Amino acid sequence: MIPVLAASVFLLLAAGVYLVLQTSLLRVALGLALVSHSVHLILLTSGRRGAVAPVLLPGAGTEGVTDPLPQAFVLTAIVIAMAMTVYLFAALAALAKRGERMEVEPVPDSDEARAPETVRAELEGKVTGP
Amino acid sequence: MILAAFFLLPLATGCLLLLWQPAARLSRRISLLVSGALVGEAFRIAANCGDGEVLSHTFGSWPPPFGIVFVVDRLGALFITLHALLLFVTLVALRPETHGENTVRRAHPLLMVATFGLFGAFMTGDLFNLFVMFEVVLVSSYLLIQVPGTERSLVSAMPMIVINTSASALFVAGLGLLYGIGGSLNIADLIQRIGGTPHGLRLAGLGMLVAAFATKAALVPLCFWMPATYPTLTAPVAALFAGIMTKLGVYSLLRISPLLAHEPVLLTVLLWLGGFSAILGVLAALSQYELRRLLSFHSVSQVGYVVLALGLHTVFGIAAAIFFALHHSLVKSTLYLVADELERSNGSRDLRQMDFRRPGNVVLATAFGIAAFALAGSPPLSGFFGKLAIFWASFESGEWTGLALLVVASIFTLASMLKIWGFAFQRRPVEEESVSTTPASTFRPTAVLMMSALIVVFSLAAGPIFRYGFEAAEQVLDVSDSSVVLLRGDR
Repeated sequence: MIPVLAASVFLLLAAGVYLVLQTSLLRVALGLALVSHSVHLILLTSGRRGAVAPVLLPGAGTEGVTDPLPQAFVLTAIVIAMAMTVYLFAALAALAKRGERMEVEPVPDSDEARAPETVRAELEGKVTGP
Repeated sequence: MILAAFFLLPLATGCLLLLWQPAARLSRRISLLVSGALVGEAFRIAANCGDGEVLSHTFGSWPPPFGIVFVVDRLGALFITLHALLLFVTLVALRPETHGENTVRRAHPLLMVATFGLFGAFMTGDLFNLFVMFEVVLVSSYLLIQVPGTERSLVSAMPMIVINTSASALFVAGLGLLYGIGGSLNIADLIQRIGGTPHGLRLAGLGMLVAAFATKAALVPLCFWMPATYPTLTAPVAALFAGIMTKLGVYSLLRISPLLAHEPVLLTVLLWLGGFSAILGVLAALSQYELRRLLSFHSVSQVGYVVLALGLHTVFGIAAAIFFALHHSLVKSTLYLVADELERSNGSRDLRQMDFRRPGNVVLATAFGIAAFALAGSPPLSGFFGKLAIFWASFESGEWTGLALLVVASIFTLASMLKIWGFAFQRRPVEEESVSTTPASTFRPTAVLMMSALIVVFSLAAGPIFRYGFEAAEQVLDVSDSSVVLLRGDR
C-alpha cells in the first residue's frame, strides 16, 4: 500500500508544481490544490504502516489496525485546503470582473502609474470596492 | 475553563459583528471593549505564569497526549500579552472618520477572528492545532488584505497567497513525517519520543517545519510576500501585522527548538538565514522610496537578528531572541502608525512626496524619533538592551561571523531611519514649490502616543522583562520529565 501512496504523492506533487509554475493564475490555483492534496496523502500514509484492517473492532485486538488520528488530521486539512481554493477562485473572479488579465504579473512597487486622487481616496478608505 | 473563555471570546465577538453588521461607531465601541478586557486578562495570565505555573485546559477532559490540550507557559503568556496590547492600539487607530466607515466595519470581525487564531497558536500544546490556528490567521489575513478593495491590493495579494499556501503544504508534509516517526504531535510528548527515531525522516520532517516557519517569519529567500502586501493593507492593520505576523513564525520556531536540538544542522541553517536576513533586509530597505515598503524590508532584517539568536540554541540566546522579538513588535508597530499619519496627511505613500510642514508633525517627529532610536539601539531605549543581549549571546557562542553581520546591519539600520527622517520631517531647500498644498486630513495622534509611551515603559522595565524572558527560555528548553508533564497539562 505504501508504494502506491508514495507514487500518488509523487504524481500529484509533480503535476501541482508544474501548474504552479505556469503564468496563468487559474492554473496556479489548481496547482496549489493538487499540491495540498499530495501532502494530505503523506499525512494519511503516516498512520498506515503495515495496516490491513480499517477499524478497531471490539474483541478483534489491535493487530494491523489503521491509526485513526491521521484520518482526522486529513479531514481537517482537506476542509482548510478547500477554503483556500475557494478564496483563490473568488480573488480571480474579482480580477476578471475588473477586466484585469488573470496572469502572473509583477507586483506594483509604487503608485506612480495611478492618479493622486485615487491614492488619497484609498488611504482615507473612501474606495467602494468589492 | 477561564482559558477557553479567553480564547473563544474574540471568535464569538467576530461572529457577532459579522452577522449583525452594526454601524462603524458601535462596532468600534464593542471591539474596543472586548479588546480592553483581553488586555486585562492577558496581563493577569502573564502574572500567574510569572512564578512558573503552567495554565492548561484539556478539551472534553481527555487526558493528554490523547486529547486536545491548551497550555500557557511564560513564553505563551508574553506573546499573548503582546498581541492583546497591539490589537487594542490598532483598534484605537482604526477610526471611521480617518479610515472610512466601510473599512472599519469590514476590518473589525476579521481582526477578531485573526486574534482568535493568534491566541490559539500561542496556547496550543500540539503541532496539528498549531497548523489549524496558522490557517485561521492566514484566511483572516487574506481577507484583511482585500479590505481596501482596490486593484493594487488584489494584485499584491497574489504572491502572499501562493507563497503562504505552499508553506502550509510544507507544514502539513512535515507533520505527516513527524507523526509517522514519533507517533504523536503533542509537542511535549514528541520531545520525549523524538530521541531514537530514524535520522533521515526526522531531518526531513523538521526541515519542512523550519522552512514553513521561516516563510511565516519572512527570512531572506522566503520573505518577498511581505513587502509586496504590507504597503496596500489598511495602515493600522498593517501596523498590527508588522508587529505580530512575523512573530508567529518566530514563536513557532522557539516552540520547536528542543526538537531542533536533535538535528544541529537545522540550527546552523537558522543561524545563516538570520545573519543574511539581517544584512540583506536592511540593504533592500535602504533602496526603497515607499515608506511602508521600506519598513517591511526592515522587518526582514530585524527578524534576522531574532532568528540568529535563536539558532545559537543557548538559554541566553533564546532569552535574547524573546526580548528582541517583543521590542521589535512594539517599535515596528509604532513606525507603521507614524507612517499611517504621514501617508494620510500627505496623500501619498511615497517618501519623495512628503512635506515636513504638515500640522502635527512635531508630535509625529517626536514619536518617530523615539521609535527610530529604539530600533537603531541607542542606549536608554529597549533596542540597546536587545542588541546587547544578542551580541553578547553570539560572543559567548563564538559566532564571530554572525556578530559582524549584525553590527554592520545595525549601522545600516540607523542610515535607513535617517533616510525617512530626511524625507518626511526635514526642511528641503529644493522643490519647495512642487510639494502639493492640499489640506491635510484629520490628525489623530492618540494611537501613536500610546505606542510611544509603551516603548518608554518597555525600556524602563527592560530588566524585569528580560528576566521573565530568561525564565521563559529556561522553561522552553527544559526537556526533563517534570516540565514535560506540566506541558501535557496533567499537573
